[in-house]
Formats: sequence, structure tokens, C-alpha cells
Amino acid sequence: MVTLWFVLLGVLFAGYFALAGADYGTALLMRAAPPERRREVLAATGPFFLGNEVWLVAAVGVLFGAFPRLEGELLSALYPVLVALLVALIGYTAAVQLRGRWHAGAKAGWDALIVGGAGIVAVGWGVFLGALLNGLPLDADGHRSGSLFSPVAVVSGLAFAALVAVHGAVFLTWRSTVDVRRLVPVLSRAAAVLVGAVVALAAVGVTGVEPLIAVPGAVAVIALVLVAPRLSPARATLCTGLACGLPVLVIGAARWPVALASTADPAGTLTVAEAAAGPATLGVLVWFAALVLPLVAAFQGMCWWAFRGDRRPVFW
Amino acid sequence: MDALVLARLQFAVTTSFHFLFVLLTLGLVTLVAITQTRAHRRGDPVLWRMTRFWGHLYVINYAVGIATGIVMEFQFGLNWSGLSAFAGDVFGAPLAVETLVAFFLESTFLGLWIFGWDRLSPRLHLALIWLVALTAYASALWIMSANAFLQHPVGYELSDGVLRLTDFGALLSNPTFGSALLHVLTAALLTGGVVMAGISAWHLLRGTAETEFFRRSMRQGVIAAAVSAPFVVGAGIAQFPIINELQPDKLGEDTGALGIPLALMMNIGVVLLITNLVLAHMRRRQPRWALWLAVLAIPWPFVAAISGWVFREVGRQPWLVYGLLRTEDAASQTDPTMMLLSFVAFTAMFAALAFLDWRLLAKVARRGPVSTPEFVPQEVRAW
Repeated sequence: MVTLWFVLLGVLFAGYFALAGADYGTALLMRAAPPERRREVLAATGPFFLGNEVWLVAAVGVLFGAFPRLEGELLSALYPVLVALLVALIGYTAAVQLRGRWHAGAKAGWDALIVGGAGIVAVGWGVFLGALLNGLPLDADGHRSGSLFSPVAVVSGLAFAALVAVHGAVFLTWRSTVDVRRLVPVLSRAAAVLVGAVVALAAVGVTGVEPLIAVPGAVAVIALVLVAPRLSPARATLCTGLACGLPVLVIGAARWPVALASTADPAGTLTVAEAAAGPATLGVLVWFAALVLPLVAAFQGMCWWAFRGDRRPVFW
Repeated sequence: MDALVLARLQFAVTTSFHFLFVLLTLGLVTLVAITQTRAHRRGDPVLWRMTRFWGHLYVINYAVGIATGIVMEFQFGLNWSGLSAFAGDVFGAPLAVETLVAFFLESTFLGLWIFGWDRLSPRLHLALIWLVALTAYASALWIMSANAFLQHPVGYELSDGVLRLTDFGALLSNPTFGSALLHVLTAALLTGGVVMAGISAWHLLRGTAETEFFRRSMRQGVIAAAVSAPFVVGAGIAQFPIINELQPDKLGEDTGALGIPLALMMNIGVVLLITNLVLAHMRRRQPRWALWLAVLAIPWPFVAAISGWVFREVGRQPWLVYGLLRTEDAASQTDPTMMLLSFVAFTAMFAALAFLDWRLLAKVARRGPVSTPEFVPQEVRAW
């Protein structure tokens, strides 16, 4: 049961990164479009925006309900990163909603908030993933006793931002007439190199990660971003989406059975079993998950189907 | 200031701003769903335009407010990791159900509703707004059951220093849950009605061209408010004996400053009840003073709601989980400077968000239903 919930947690985070990655990635490239075409950039993710972002809410909800101890330790240990990320996320979501509805003179300000906000969110999640991979300096009580920034976490921040940017570029090529195709090869190579750098740094400085999972996982991510520029835009988006979603699954699997590794006091290491709620809680929650997840999948699938060929809908 | 005070202030600010958005969202979605149902059954063009206009205001408020909900959720882990460590098994369960059953589905349905006007069948589109409303209510239900657990913990056992869930059903039969939920839901409907009536009254006072549109909107808002207000007051009063029994300190002799928000909420509730009953009786033409009354009523449900929460939550102190976990023992060990920084940053963001939301709502509301065709524009308007 604990394993099932850990997988589910990973899937929800992976879904969030893959889906909302398109929101942030397209936003990052907003300035690549001429000012009069920028609304199209937002329109490209328009019908899916709420559905994409809410995967995060579901993931954190499951983190709290099914792994309360991981939630408390992880979030409070990553405090500065998450505060910056959340502030940026608020600014970004609000700017997306308000840009088209405010007077025309303020567009440049909203654009800056959208690009900057999406950038901080993307780098922030990369640092988050890097900290999971690298481990955090925790004391025996699970409180952070040193800096949360490690070389792995920092490079991982850049690598994830690059992954998200490639995803955004191919998504825009698929769903809009904004021409960012020229950026795709450059961004895809940059993402591949940065992901490679994370792996290299981790190979030197990180222990407790299963290489038989981590290395093929990283190779898959690199292959997906490198192959994307050669494919049709829709298939390329699928590939880059997978590349955004995979890292959290690979890190979770390679760290198993540890949920949060301590680089300081070994007693601070939190295993998945220790982090999980009791069997009664998990048993109750599983019914709700079994009811809801197929419904969400069906209705979000319906949303993608309903707007499959359509590049027009503009609400934002 | 020490980190604990800052963490408490931050929680109060986050919840308050979040609830300002939630209150209007919950109220308006019900009214939009009712309007769309009436439009669907009668095929009346005015009702269709009403659905779009009020739906537009609803969507703006939802979409701008969604970020406050995300911060709300993160805050438990960021600032109160002692709560998840100690009570996460029990408290986390309804919270997780809320995010899954309610929020996750709600946003999915809403995304389809917003963009689905022209491409889904009218019946499916109508079903979607009701699904949005239902999931929004479910959201309130699970959040209130989680909050009721903090007020009066049930369904748990204490083993090895942490709480374990023993009876999930007990969370829903908690005496501090049922009447409080009814109170919150009807207060939201009252708020939606007051806002709808107030905006309509403003247009009628201005004598804008859309007299028919706003007279009918006003009627609908006033009726919603008049129907819900007695329940708000009733469900509020029904909580006193429960509080007396389970949280005697809350209403005790030395509550001091707590009496102010309580009195404020109760007075506003009674005034709104009387006002809307009077307005509901003026069937045909409302005199100008009645229209002014409706306009001036707009901010008060929000003031009352925040006062109500202050009473409920501050009255729980010094406990986070009543009788089991003290607030001071639940706070994360965070550097006070960092805490101050995040408090200032979040507060500034929320204040800006609320300001922008209301400015935008006011702008769209002032413009009136002419703006609604752009709700689903025919082509990309690049500007």
C-alpha cells in the first residue's frame, strides 16, 4: 500500500511537471514572439491551463495526506526555494489572467512578470529535484542543519529550466503559429548537456543512488530531448513532456527505499515507510483516489480532444 | 519578532485572503449554475447573457484566486511541520481528499466549461457548471471537516507520540463540523447574492441601457441572499451550545478582544438578513434608497466572514489541535529573518492580488454585459 501511494505521488508530480511544464516553457519564450503575437503564446495553453496547474495541488495534497512526515521535513527544509517559487507562481498565474484585461500600456510589465515568474518557477522545481537527488543536510530530528544548495541542486535547477524551455518551444510549434522553431535545436542541446552535467556531478559526489536506475533514466531523458527536434510537433511535445515528467520518477526510484536522504546525520534520513501515514489513512484515501483519478484523466483527456486541432480559443 | 508570531500572522493573512476569494467563488458559482439552468430550460436570451456576464466575473475571481489556495496548501509543511508530523495521519486525510476530489476535479471541469461554450453540447456544458459547483461544495465540506478536527479532535488514537486515524466517519459526524459547514456555505451564497444585487443596483441607479438585464439579475441576487441569510444566522447560533460544551474558553468571561469580531459578524449578519428580506418584498420597482442599500451592502459579507474566522481560529488558541497540540509546538524551526521575509513577500503579493482582482471585477462589472461576447471571441485578437 505504501509503495502504491509512493508511485501515485510520483505520477502526480510527473504529471504536473509534464503538463504545467508546457505552461512555464511557453511563458519563458514569450519574448521570442513579437509583442502583437504574445497573446497567442498564452492562448496556446489556454484551455488546459487550470487543469495543468492543479496537478500540483493534487500532488501536494497526496504528499500531505499519505506522507505527512515527508511533507513537513521536505517543505520546511527547502523553505527559501519554495517561498521564492510560490511568490513567482502567484505573480505568474495572476499575470497570465490579467495581461489581456488590463489597459494596453501595462503589457510590458505583465510580460516581464510572466517570463520572470515562469523562469523562477522552472529553476525552483529543478533545485527541488536536485535536492531530492543530492539529499539535504538534516539532523537526527529531520531539521536542516546546513545549506540546501549543492552543486547538483544548482545545476539541476538550470537543467530543469532548459527541459521546460524545450518543451515550451515544441509545444508552441505544435499549438500556435508563433515561430520558435529555430530555438528548438539549441535549447534541446543545452538541456541534454545540463542533464548530463547533473548526472556527472551526482556520479562524483552523491551516494545512495542506484546507478542501474539513475543512469538509464538520465539517458532516456537526454534521448527524448535530442530526438524531439526531428519529430512532428505533436510527437515532439509528447517526448519533451515525458522528459519533463521523468526526472522525478527516476529520482524517486533510484533513491528507493529512501524518501529524503540526509547528507549530514545518517539518522536524519527518512525512508518511504517512515514517511507514510498509517494503513488506516492510506486505506481510506485509496478509495477516493480510485474514484477521482480516472475521472480526472477522462475529463482532461476530453479537454485535449475537444481542443485538439484548434489554435483559436482565447480567454486569457 | 519571533518566528512563531510571524508564522501565525502569515497563516492568518494567507487564510483571510484565500477566503475572500473562496467566499465569492462559492456563492457566484451557485448563482451561475442556477442562471444557466433557467436559461437552458427557457431559452431566454436575457438569461443566457446573464449566465455569461456573471460567469465571467466568477471565472476572473476563481482564476486570480487559485494561487492563494496553492500557498495555503504549502504553508502547512513550510511553517507548521510539527502539525504534519504529529497529526498528519488524521488531519492530512480530509485535506488530501479535498485536493483530489474537489480541487483537482473542479479545475478540470471549470477549464472545460470556460472554453466549451461553442464546442460542447449545451446539455454537457450545463452539466459541467453543476459539476464545478458540486466539487466546489465538496471542497468546502472536506476543508471544514479538517478544520473541525482542529477544533475538536475525533476519530484518532495516540500511539508512539503521533495521532493515527481510527475512524474516518467520525471526522464527518464531528459536532463542530455540520452546522459550521452549513454556516459557511450559506454565507457564501449570501455573499454571491449581495454582490450580484449590489452590482445590478449600481447599474439601475446609473440608468444604463440594460434595465431588463439588471432588474432580473438584482431580483435573483436579492432572493438568493434573502433565502440564505436566515440559514446563515441560524447555523451560526446553532454553534453556540456546541462551543460552550467543547471549547468553553472561547466564550468564557475573559475572552476580551475576541468579543469584537464575534459582535461584528453577528450584527452584519442580522442587518444583511433584514435588508435582503425588505428588498425581496419590493417586487416591482425599487426606490433609489433601496438600490443604494444594495450597493452599500457589497463589502459587508466579506467583513463578517473574516470576523467569523478570526473568532473561530483565534478562539482555538493556545491549541493548534484542541487539547492535543499547542501552536508553539507545531511551528517549523525556521530562521526568523527568513520567516519575516516570506511573510512580507506573501502579504504583499496577496494584497496586490486582491487589489487587482477587485479592480478587474469592478471594471468588468461597470462595463456591463456588453463585454460578454469577448468571453468566447471568434478569432485571436492580438493586442
